Amino acid sequence: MATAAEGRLRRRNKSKKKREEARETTVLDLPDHLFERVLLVLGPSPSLVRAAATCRRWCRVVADAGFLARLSSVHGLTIHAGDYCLEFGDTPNYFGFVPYSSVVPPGRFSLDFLPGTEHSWALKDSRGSLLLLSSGMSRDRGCARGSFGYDLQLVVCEPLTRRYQGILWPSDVADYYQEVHLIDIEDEAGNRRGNMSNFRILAKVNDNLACVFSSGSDGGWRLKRTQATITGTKPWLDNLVGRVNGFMYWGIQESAAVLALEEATLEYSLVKFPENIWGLYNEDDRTSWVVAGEDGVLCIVCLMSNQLKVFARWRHEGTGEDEWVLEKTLGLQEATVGLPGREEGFFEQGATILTANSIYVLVRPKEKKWMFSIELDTMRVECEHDRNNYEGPAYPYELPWPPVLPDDRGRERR
Amino acid sequence: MATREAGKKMIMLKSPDGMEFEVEEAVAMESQTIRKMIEDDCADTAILIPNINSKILSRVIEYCNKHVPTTGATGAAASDTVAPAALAEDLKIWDAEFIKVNRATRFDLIQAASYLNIKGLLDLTSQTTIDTISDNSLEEIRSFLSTKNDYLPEEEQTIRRENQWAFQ
Repeated sequence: MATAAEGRLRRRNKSKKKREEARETTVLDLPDHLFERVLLVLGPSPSLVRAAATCRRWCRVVADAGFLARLSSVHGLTIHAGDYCLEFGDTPNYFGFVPYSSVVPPGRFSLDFLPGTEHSWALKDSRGSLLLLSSGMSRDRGCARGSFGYDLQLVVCEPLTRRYQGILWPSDVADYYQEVHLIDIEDEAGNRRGNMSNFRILAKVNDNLACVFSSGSDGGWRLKRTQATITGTKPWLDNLVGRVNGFMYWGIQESAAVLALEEATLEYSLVKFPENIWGLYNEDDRTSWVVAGEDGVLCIVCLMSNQLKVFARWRHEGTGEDEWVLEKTLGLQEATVGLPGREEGFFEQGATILTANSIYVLVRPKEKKWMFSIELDTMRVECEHDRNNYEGPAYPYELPWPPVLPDDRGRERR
Repeated sequence: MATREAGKKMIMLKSPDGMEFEVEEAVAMESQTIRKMIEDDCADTAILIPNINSKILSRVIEYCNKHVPTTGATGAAASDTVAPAALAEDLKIWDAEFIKVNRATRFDLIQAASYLNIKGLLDLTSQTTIDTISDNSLEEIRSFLSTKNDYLPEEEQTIRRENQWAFQ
């Protein structure tokens, strides 16, 4: 193999060469576009925020809307830091943080900045970098109102910036709300997840009425009539079966249809899933969930005779008809053999999906509270991960992004 | 292996400090910029590479020599030829050694790779810079990149406060 040294070299101008070498190149010599290309490799991360904090010029590069858009197109819009996982059972609800990445120390996800004790708050939902919690015990367990100092207050908080905002219920509906969620916002920058200064809360009051809270000076609670009752069912209350691409889905008892809510418009619709895939929903024995697959395709994960199956929905352009493609299958009985704690006789009565998201499915056999996960991209089965210690839903938590950086005029922007 | 004498087309690259490098055309064409010049017939006998001194240019040629696809008797870059895993592993080790340079040289290489449009070298130099930025504190990043802190103390304080989670 030839090397550069083998090339013919002819020295012509020695003094000029010396002069060239005397000057050291620093990062400041890189033009913005090259510096940007380097930072693109870094991706959305704490390191990128620190790079922006080194000097004004770098900050300008990182805070640039075009750069942030390119960053998203390469690395995705969000950084999944971990899940806040809920443990069902005793009141008040217990939950813990399960980290998925080590870029931020786990201690940063603590909620110790909230007033009260750690058991004062029940986790209700997450969206982006925000959490929604309600004070005190779950009301459907008959806890007397007013026994807590916070008196049925909601709080939206951002653990990583240790900020929170308390939200009081409108007094006339406080007794009746059934379920609360953080929902997508409309943002011209394409950020639907919201932040502490821009978020929305949806509260179901009854079958015909929801309340929507918007942040901001012209925000507050607004009533929203809903058409949910056309289904003649009670689709809410713990029957959330998934959230995909700006839609929330609730299972309907003894039905293969689900109720869908488009978060941006707050319009409901009834979505019919094939009965041979979805089954007939049973709120006490859940075997079907909706998750986001690759490229945001809607997928159903379901259990059929101890087989975990993943179906992807492909929508035909033009006809608008759905085709359900079986993408993955895993036999639970065989796949779990050898896992610690796995006992003979598990799965004879079947299994239940406890929670599911785009990353994993949490399953337990009917026989015993022995939880394990199936990772959806590889279908690997494991029971060692911390997430398997929680029986309730997992609320994904993302790093606050984009970071809050001053623009050229020194004002902060987001 | 075909040799220069066996009819490989050679090309002369000139650095602004007056050095000339004779390289195989296939090697030079690892640079998309030079490839375009050759394809557009803009490169007759010698190509002047502005802004890249001989020291950096020789390193760039060294990189291209190593990364030029070895298959194809004509020496044309066979980009669709998949290198066997062993070869890829060998290249990775070679790259790691190649990039052990001081940071001034690395920034020179980034600029050269960008001007000459050599994606592999640009990725390599970018990644190495990123590795240094990652997992380091603000002060360490500043010192490594020799950037000067031009924020007012209260401005830096604000950035730190607003993005507390990103700082150690």
